[in-house]
Amino acid sequence: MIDHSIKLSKIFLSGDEQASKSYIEETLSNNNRLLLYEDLLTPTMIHIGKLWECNEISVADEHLATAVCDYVISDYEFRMVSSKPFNHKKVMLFGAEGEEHYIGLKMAAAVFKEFSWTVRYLGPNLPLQHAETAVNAWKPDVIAMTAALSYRLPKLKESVKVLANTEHAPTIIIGGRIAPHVMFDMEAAPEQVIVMPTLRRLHDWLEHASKGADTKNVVS
Amino acid sequence: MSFPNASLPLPVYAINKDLEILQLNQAAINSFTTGTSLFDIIDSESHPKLRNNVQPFKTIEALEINALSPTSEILLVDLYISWTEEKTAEVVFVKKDQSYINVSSQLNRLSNRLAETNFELLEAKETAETLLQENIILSSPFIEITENLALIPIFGELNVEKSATIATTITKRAYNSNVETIIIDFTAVRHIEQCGLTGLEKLVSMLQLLGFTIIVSGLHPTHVKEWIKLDFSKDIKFVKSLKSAV
Repeated sequence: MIDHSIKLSKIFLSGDEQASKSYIEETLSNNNRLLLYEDLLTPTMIHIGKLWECNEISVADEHLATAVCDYVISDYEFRMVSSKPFNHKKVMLFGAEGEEHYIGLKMAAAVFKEFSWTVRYLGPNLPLQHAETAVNAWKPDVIAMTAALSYRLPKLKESVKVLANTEHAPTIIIGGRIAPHVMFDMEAAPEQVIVMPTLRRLHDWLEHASKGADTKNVVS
Repeated sequence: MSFPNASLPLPVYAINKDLEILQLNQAAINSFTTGTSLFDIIDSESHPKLRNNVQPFKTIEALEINALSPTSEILLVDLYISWTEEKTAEVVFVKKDQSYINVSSQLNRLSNRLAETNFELLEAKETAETLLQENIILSSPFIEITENLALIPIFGELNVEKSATIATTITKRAYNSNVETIIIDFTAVRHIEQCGLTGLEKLVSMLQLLGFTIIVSGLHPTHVKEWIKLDFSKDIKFVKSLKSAV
């Protein structure tokens, strides 16, 4: 798969979304969302980050590649749209205040949809105050937040503290590049926070939940 | 060491091989945060890039990196480094073209706007769905005309979704009432879908099972064509108009 993501990163950087789509179709043996997102697109975007670190590409190139990746995800979700009725579980997803990385968030939203959750995707860089208003108004069962950069950590902790204490006491999922480095459950809101380092973990968790297990703390 | 480029309009630093800052010019003071090492004025997420690329005595042309402004905001810059014979280096920072940043933030705004519109559409769709559901329930009222006669006039089109919703509400209402005969009136129905009729068949069988006599009135000739494709008409009385049914 690593070879494939290196090749795909070149196509992403050329800005050719059609070629990206055809390459993915050729590469993936079956139409599996996790295979595409976790094993192909994620390593591709990580590789692109490394290329910037090696000074081989610029931030502008990175933005272009992100836009193509975004297109690929939107296109895939459009074609995979299911007519299954939504269940009563609600999830709200957003990136912490100041955080502009959103591809992972979008992928997570798609995984929730796969399990027929009612999904509100509020995008990256959502001010905490707005998030709080939205949570109080819409009362989601789960709030999924992401951050990529280490200095978002204080803001993320503050968000967890505020949102965990809203009336509905939602479960809070933390994802993104920052996720493996945090020990959220120890602090702010114990018993209510789940760190989800990968989409596969999220998938497993949702599978548990769909089999009737409580969405609170199935995996922690 | 006197600084040769004190008045240069670009930010310039003199560093040693440990990347410690020896000197800086006025433009550097104005543009970037203060510190003792080159690392201090570079965003922490860019430190690996700085560490991997800036090595003693290696000339660098245009290393794109995030620096920190005096107020710790992130600034995208290109870094140029050249080493002198005294084992020190001059580092020049060139801020990225403002127009590029403008275009980038403009694009961000546009994509946010699209996301918002998408969200508003979603909310409008949800409202429309609720209204539609309400409309369906209202379009088939259960009217008790006498002690033992009730009328269900159906309005609009008859499709799968509608017949399913109608079936649930009507069965409940009929069960709780004392009527014996139910007239289902089709005068206000424009178009019948075959699958909608199948749903209606279930409703009628259910009502018959509960012991009601069913009369169907107001069928249009086009409705009849659809109706005769099904074979559940045995126990139903058909009458031409509601008037004759009553």
